[in-house]
Amino acid sequence: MPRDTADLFGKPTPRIDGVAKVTGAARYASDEPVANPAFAYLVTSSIARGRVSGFRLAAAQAVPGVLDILTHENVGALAKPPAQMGGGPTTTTLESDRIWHDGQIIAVVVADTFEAAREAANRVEVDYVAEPPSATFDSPGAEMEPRKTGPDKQNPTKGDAAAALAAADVKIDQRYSTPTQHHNPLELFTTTCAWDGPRLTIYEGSQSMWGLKNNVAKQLGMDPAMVRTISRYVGGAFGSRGGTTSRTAWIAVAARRLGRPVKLVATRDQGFTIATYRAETRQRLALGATRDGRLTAFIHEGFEVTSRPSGYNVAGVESTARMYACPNIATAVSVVHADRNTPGFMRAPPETPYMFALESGMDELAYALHMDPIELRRINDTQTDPVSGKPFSSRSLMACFDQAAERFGWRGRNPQPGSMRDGDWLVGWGCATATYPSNIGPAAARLSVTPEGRATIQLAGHEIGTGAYTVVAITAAHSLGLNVEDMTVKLGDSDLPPVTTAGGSNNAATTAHVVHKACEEVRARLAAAAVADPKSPLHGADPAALALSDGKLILPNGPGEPFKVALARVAGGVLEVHAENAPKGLKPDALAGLYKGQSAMSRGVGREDYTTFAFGAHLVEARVHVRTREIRIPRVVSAFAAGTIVNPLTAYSQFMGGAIWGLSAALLEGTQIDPKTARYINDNLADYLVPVNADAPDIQIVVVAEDDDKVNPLGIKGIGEIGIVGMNAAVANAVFHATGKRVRDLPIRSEVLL
Amino acid sequence: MPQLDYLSPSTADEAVRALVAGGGSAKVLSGGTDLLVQLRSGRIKPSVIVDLKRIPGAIGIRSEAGGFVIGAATSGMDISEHTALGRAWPGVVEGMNLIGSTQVQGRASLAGNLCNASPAADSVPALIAAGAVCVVVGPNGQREVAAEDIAVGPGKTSLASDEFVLEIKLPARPARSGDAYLRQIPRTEMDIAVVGAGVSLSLDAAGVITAARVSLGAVAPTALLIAEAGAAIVGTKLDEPALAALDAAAQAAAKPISDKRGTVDYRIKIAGVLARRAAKIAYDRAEANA
Repeated sequence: MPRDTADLFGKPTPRIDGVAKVTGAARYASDEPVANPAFAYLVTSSIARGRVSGFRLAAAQAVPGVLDILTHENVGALAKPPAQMGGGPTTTTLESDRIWHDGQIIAVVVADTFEAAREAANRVEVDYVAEPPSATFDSPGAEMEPRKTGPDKQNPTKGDAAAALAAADVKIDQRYSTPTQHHNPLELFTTTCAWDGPRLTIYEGSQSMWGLKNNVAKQLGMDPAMVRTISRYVGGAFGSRGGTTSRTAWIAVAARRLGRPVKLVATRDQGFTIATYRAETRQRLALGATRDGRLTAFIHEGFEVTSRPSGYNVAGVESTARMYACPNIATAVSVVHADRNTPGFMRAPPETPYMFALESGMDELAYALHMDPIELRRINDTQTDPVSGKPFSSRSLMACFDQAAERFGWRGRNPQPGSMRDGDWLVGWGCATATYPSNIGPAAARLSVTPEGRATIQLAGHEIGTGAYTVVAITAAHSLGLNVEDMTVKLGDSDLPPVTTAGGSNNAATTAHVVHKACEEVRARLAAAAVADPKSPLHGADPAALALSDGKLILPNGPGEPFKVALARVAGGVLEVHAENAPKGLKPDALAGLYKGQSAMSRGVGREDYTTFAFGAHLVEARVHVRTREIRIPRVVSAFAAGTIVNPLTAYSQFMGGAIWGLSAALLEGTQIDPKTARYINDNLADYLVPVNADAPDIQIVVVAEDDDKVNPLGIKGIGEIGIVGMNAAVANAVFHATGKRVRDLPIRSEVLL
Repeated sequence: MPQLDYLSPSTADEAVRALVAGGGSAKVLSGGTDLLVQLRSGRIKPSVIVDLKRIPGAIGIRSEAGGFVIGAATSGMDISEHTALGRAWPGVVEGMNLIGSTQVQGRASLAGNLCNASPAADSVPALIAAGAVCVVVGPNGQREVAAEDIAVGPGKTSLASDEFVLEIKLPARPARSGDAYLRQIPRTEMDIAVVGAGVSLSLDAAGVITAARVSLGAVAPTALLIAEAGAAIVGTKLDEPALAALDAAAQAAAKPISDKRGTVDYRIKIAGVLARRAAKIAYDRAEANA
């Protein structure tokens, strides 16, 4: 594949779907028109553990307009539980009378109107056999076990970390914790199902079109070819729409029973329990170092809450152990089973909680060593993965720190905590490393080109708010030598060629490579025909040397001919190609699996040749009021090196959005749980605090140039998640610098600083 | 489906008759920024909603006897834009103005905020400090109730189910008077007060405080009028000993709970800090109002 990231790559390009979005023309799943829909409303459990002993439905059925009420008694056998993120068993819903957690779906009311369905749902009376639930860590009945490891899930280990820690000149050994968090995408969780004879169409915001299609087919015992999923736009996902959740199959069952499309728009509070979340963690981090700051021991242990049946865990030690050079590494991860819904992917699932501990600990170690925290990271920077010994494909961590520090004015920092003050405000400057593994998945795409120089690119990719349509258009225009505005992109429909799940920040790399491959196929066919045609000015040239550029097929620095002429030679009207791409490092059956809805990914760790991560640096100013201890963040400078940036305009938004979410995680966000009932308390956007505009400070994003031809041919590392990683620690470190008070439990509340 | 009637009477008498007919399951609507949320969530299930907005005087601000009369359904936006009111009672205006977003301000009202009876209501401490009086209408005619006597507990008022607040009166303002409202919230905007403090005071020609009222929100089941805190600064020029006495009186009166927004200890401390700060702002404003 020729490597050329100049021209369109790197040019800020407005979203091609921007006008549709701001005018309301963009159709989100529940906006899709279906004929004569009925409306569903969920009845959820008001206990967290036990069984349903019976329903009293007369009052609900008496509500005018009620059409059907689904419970385990009448539909339980009609669907199997959905596949679980990361495999293994998970909680069930209508399959049985079992209650696994508060807010579990236990009935679905269907009516002619939303209002009638809601009213009837409120009149459903449920008898329970309740047992006392375990809410979280330390709750009676919560069960701990080591996480299950396997070939792809290893706890990094090297040398003798315990002995090295004992012998270290300088050491820190601390406990940290992070809270439960919910994604709360602005678009609520919705599902609309419509049957056309044996064919089922599902409209549902999704990060995995083919995954959803195949999973629901399996649940309902159907041929996947009879299931179509549609999700043209998604109003935020952040991992919450990556897996298949329980509601979808029941809405399909409801629609089949009724012989009429059924639409579900779940409420905001139901979203806290019918989908996934980021589980709370507790962590131990111990670092040992020489007096000159070189790490000699690294120990990181994590504890994560999950549901009773699921072993889901994120195990961020796989990333933290690779951040700094260290000869002795020990890690462990345990899960704690409680009576909760099963957690799942949420923006940088492993790194967000685990890098909080590591980057806080590095700051603590820097103070113990009387060393600048950036310098401590420089001393321990490495181009070699300390766990596997493989080289990083590229690693520009210190370039990120240096460029961010220059912009921030870090040189003016007085290292003494509490030494910087502006009137009644204590001022603190903190920093932290950001990182995210560079992942890429298999994909297929269909490309058609017309003599007018227009192209249509179709693939079942996912526009989850990131600018996916535009990335595909930029790539195709770049590779075909045509204009972005002449590209038509179709995504979000499982009738289109499959693309791996949009998760792990793989989307840009995955879709750009398969689209580039389709374009390359067009170029090769036009080139082969041109060199064979005596009438062409390119006759006899080396076909591999020909390029598509500026609306022409050309020999660089030589003759050329218009695209239209070159195309006419191979197609009477339109040329259409189907391309598949299986990136290096995947198992041989990755493409075959893709068509079965399986999402493989070549990950940042586990490749044979390189370890691949993107890196960044957050520098933060915190201000803490001397009397009230209110915390404000007036400015942030974050620098990232993430390989090729396909569209700087949307990339800046992604980085900035990540940074703001990191501030939110540091200062505001946390789902509270009642220890007695195992019920979420603040399950609404008035009480689940996220930053408002006034909380979003001056955020400067620095993109550090990085050319990485080893991570993948186009050098794309992915940027969707790295922005959030480390920001929580950078804020905590800045608060320490301002006040001298080390906060190891998130979110940081004013009262702990009194 | 439950029946829900909506009435929009054009006189206060008609409104009272509707409330009487509602027999305890009627609800009064002014801006609706709390009522509609409670309706949707199912927390309240009234049989009839009585909208005050068509009653003459329910929307609007008029001058009377040197003070102001603010109609029950007057929006926060109207209040913010009233220049004379803003000059006389900047603390009342800033308390009202902190409620919700710009969109909410287009609807939310002082009387609604007061009668919703949240202990953390932002407009209430300033109203109490101002000595605001509510004109309450019911089957037995009109009566006047001090702002601090409206709420009796979270979500509960002293009004009978067939009574409503028609208007709120702010008294005439002597020269050299000022007021202020401050609150503490975890984020910068759009949040519920952890503690709120309202202070209103008047000075003599020498800068000595001749009268002061101090009110705290979110530290008890209702917003509190704290007589000891006002008394602590009367007769002083708000020097440090006076501020310390004010701080101590505010802390002594605060009887908060711990919840996810703040702990008991934190709220008590902040009550003192905010009382000090609000008093200083009110004092500076009074001096500027010579």
